[in-house]
Amino acid sequence: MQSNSKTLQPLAVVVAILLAAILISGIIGVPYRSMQPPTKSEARLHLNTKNSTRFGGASLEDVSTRISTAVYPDIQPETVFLFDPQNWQAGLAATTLLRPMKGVLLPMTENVREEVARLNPTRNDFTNNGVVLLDGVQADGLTGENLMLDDILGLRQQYGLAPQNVILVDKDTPETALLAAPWAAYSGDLIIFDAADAPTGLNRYSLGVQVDGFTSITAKTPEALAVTFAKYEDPQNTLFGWAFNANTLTGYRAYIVANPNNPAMALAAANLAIHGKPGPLMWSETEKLPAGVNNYFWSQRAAFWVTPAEGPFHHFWIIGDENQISFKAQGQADYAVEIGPYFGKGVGLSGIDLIAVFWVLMGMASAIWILLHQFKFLPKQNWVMSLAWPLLALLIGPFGLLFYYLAYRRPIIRLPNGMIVWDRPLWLQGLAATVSAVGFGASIMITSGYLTTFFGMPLIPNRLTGAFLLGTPMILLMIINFVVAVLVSWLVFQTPMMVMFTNKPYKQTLGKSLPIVLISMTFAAVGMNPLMWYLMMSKIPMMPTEESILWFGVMFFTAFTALLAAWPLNYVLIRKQNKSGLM
Amino acid sequence: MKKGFISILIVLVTTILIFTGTNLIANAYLANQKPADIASLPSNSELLTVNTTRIGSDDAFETAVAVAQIIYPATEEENTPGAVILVNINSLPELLVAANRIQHFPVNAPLLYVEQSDLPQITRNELLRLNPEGVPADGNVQVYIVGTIDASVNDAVNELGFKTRVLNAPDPIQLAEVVDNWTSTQHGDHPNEVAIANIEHPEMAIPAAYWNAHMGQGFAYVTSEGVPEATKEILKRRANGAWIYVFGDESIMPEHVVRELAQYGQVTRMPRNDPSAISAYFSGFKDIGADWGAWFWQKARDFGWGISEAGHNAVFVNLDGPAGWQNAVTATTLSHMGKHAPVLILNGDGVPDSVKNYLMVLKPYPTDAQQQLLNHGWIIGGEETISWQTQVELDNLLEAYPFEE
Repeated sequence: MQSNSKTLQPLAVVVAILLAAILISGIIGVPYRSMQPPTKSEARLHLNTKNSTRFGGASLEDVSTRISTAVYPDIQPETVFLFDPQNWQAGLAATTLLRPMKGVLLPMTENVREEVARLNPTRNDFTNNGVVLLDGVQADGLTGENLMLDDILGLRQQYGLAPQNVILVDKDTPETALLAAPWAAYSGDLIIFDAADAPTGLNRYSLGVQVDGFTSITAKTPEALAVTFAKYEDPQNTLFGWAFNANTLTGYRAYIVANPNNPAMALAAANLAIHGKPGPLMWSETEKLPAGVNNYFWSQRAAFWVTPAEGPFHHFWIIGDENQISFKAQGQADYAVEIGPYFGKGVGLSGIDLIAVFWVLMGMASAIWILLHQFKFLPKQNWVMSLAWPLLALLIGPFGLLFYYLAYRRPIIRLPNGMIVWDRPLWLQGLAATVSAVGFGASIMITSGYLTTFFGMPLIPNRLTGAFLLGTPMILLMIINFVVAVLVSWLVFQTPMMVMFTNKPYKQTLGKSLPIVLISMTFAAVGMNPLMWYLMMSKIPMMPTEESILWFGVMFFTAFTALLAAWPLNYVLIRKQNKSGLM
Repeated sequence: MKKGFISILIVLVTTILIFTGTNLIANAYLANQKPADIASLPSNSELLTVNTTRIGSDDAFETAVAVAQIIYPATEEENTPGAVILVNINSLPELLVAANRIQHFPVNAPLLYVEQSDLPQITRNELLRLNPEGVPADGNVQVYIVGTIDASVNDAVNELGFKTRVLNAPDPIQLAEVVDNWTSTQHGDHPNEVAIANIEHPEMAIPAAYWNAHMGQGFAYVTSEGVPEATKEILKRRANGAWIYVFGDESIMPEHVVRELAQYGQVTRMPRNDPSAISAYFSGFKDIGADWGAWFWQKARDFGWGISEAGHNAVFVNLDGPAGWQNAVTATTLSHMGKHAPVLILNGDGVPDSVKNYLMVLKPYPTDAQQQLLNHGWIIGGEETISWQTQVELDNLLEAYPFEE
């Protein structure tokens, strides 16, 4: 008689393998897609995005002119500081003067006098035409007052509030030294290249170099130093440092993103810290953001609590054309800080994503362990159960192993027909019966859900009062899943199992098993679907699709709740001897 | 044990086969050709300030594309839209329906313009660039064709390899009903908040389109004569009665129409009679309170931006520019994503007092770098639409760190 049920075994095995393979292939698709490199920009009218502005242009002059136009579109500056692009040290030292002297810092380029003419600086006290030439820079057709590095401190003390802090930087390493530029432009703090130049009475910091007597801010690489300095806050002196770190929920962020290969261009961007949206300088490679920088941006991702219109809103200044920073890298930055719900905040993966990953990985590990264990130690186990256990374990994360252990650490009973069963109390029989019902039922429902979502859920608009919900994609999805699960489970898994027990032919058993499959599948669906609706349609914003790990997390978790819902039912069915839970 | 390893191996091999197969199928949804290179807009990279970004030109087809590009870089899956909405450039009432009722999640789509019987080159190119992913909650539809657009346009879009859905009706009033029915079916819910425009003054309701691109609530038309049947249908569908928001004072939205609307729910009026004043009024407007509840659940109504402090953004448009309203309603996507900004409508003279006074309320101020609040403005259109002088004036109004004069 057992051979009767065996005829369907190959089909059932194939179906079970397909179910597992489809679900696992969906899961590995999530990291696979996120590892795909971004495609390049094409067919664009501009290179700005919702969270970034690009100061493009092929030459240093184009870029610096666009920046000075943005900062001084109509207001006249009082002072224009000109520096030799080869002598970035002079420009860097002068950033301390930008706010106190209402200035703009421009690299000495071929046609810079046109921009100087447009700006038309108004100062006539230190210089008679508003132009200051830094460290002896030669300017074609432009006259102005010369300012040597040694005289900057003296000049700084004549304008604005006295500086509070001094920053020591390495004069041979622009990629660390220039990180001080936007801060000095924003705060008016002093920048020096030699520890001996530090005036007394000021708080002393060193950036990128370790020096005795200075509070040193260092990191392994210039990119990492940029992140460290952006986050830096000194509890003894809270007015020093951007403090763009995690200790604030509402601060708006702006970042200058530049390529370290072009120091003069990065320095020209320091103007952006005096007006509008001040913020620190960050380094990027041409092709993509360095991983540490990208992770830092993610950690600063804006989060809303009530509505995405509430802010904060972050912004990037992208310096140079696509030879400096590619549009791909810009797109990375843009996406990293896009405002999202607080519930989903995290570095790349939010807390709830991590729970989903944990759940899914535990499930896979348990399924593999059970598969290996049952073939080695339970050779006489019924074949239907040997399919149900790994399938269920795949879904219910950390609970699969526990239930498996409870079910099989029991005495064996040899039935007269040669079958081996396990002596279990009723509650445990209920669990074992639920495992077969939900192991197949939920895995079929979720696989059906995955395929339906993958190919697009149907939507049937209709005007039936109250019944319009029947055309709703999520509801249709639930109906499709239910019907598919009942049919497959009934024909391929549950009827053969019943045949084994009753020893009646398959066809005669079909009628008897259908109501049982219907009832237990209904319980499973009731356990799964309302929670799925709640999580997907209202709790998780933007409704996850089958492309997100959250989709699998939610579906698998609802399989667990389905198991909890169907367990009492199976207990009752077993008490009434409608079902067996000994296998 | 051996059997165990073999079964794991079989599952693994099957998984790889299926994985490869699904990737091939997913690729079939991609466009079948690459977009052509296009010339960039100099004004969009040159007329920039620290508090404003200029988007688009004095041509509305181009501006719609420029807006889609600012929101959707389309360089990776996460920044690619679910779909694209195509609307007829000559029908403001249809466009308002599309922006109000389709753009929001789960569709997540920018608006692009077509002519009634032509898919313009620039729009076609942008469709190819965006390569929308398809909306899983609607059969993976990639392009929505909304309103009076000939079948030839649908055919042209299909030819690019995109799956389409056509939403149309004999007139815009009925279109609102058709789309309401479709989107409510998609969400399994009829949002009870409904914005109402007089179809004889659709431009007064432009701010509602920006709000609903952000929030996805209801939208319907009335006429100066009364409430049309299709609109009554929409309002009756609201399970617990509607919360109705009418755009315009008595001269725009006659009192007898409001009284008729009040048969279906509570009516709140935006009592202004020009688009600029309505846009400023509505940006500060917020209605919250009861919607429906039961012992186990409650849902509050929530309509209007209610923005009245520093740290927010605005989309600046001008109805009097050379491309008229066409240029002014392209940018609703900027309310949907990114800086989630309401619209402020300028006029031919620059920044009207209503808008200026509102911006004074939003004005940020210097604080500590860590805690700074910043504003940003989107300037929609070319220099004929919004001049550089006006842009600079707005930049000053939005500025957090002004220079001491």
